Amino acid sequence: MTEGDRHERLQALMVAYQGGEMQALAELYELMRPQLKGFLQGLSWDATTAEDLVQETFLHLHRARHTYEPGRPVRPWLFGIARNVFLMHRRSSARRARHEQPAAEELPELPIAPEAERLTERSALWRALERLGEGRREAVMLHHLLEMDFKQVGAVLGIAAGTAKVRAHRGIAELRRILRVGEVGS
Amino acid sequence: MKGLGGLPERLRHEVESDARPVRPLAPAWVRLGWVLLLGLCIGLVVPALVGVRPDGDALGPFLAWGAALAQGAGALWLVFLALREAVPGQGLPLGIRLASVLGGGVFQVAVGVATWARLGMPEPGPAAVAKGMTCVTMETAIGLPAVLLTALLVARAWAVRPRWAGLLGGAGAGLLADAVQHLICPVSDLQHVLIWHGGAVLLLSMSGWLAGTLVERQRTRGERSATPLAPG
Repeated sequence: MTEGDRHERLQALMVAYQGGEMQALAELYELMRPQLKGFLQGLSWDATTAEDLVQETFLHLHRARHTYEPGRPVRPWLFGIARNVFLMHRRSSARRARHEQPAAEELPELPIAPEAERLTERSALWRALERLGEGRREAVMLHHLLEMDFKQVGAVLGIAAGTAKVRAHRGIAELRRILRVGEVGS
Repeated sequence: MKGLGGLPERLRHEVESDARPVRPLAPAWVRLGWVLLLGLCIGLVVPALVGVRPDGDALGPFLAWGAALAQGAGALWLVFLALREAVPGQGLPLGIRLASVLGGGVFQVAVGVATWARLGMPEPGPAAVAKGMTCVTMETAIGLPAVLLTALLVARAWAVRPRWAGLLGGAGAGLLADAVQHLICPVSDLQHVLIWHGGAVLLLSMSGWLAGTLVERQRTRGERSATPLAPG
């Protein structure tokens, strides 16, 4: 399935879902759950929390399904909800100290785009991502891993497309520096 | 319900309890039409009832109706931003939001200063506080329907940044109210305009922000009380 096909499929599913076809929601869930979980785990750095947040995201999605505007890309809308769910979670729960690095099996499930994979192997890349500031990490995940364009990244993060581009580029530069200096094992 | 077996239990239950088709929200510019309609009604009815300011001729059409129309347009822009902000993935960047809110405030001040200068820089008259209180009450009352309508339109969506949606909507309602107040208020000294008219705009803006804060807290409280969900 090409990128364009996938976008069209998502839009068609959303329209069907809004029309009362709940089976479309099940398919949407199956399609988007891995990406959402990867993104939320990249923000929360906890697999269990990420799983909970995915469910919470879909609950809010169900309640807010009327707000999706047919014809518009689905992912900025969906990831906008997901990000907000994460921010609500962070506000409502006590911060826990980041005293441990995630074990290899806990690493986010997001596929890694070829240019990112050339940097280093998967676990080292995710450990390096953890060291980025949240703004840059989000931009890197959304653009380089989830392959959203900068306009969509800006829509999710509430920033201009140009700002999203700068954050993503600086994030990648910082990742290269971290990996080159060997601050995480490769 | 067929085919939902792959969904987690809580989500499945939620879906099964509400599986009705929904009508997608109209685009922001369409929903703005309701606010435009209300603004036109207020802008025509209030001056007709209360009377246009007696020094309108001295002010000239540009600084009287022209300034009011420009403020009205600015108000609609702010409400449009609020309606965009109310839909995930459609909000505009922080720079535009900030510039728009601040720009609205600056424009309100600029209209006040220009009016004061045009009318010969009048000094505050007697009973300044009483007149000020009358204006704040009047302007707030004029703006309240716009605040409520905008709040209703925003509440029907799902703002990812409710405080911003509220602030933008409240500021839009404030600027709209000030546009009308500018047409009817006979007091033009700078102190009166900046403190009392400006104060009303600030009050309406903050009421919108407060409404957004309450929505955010309610959502956060709901998230906190939610039981952890079993993986799907």
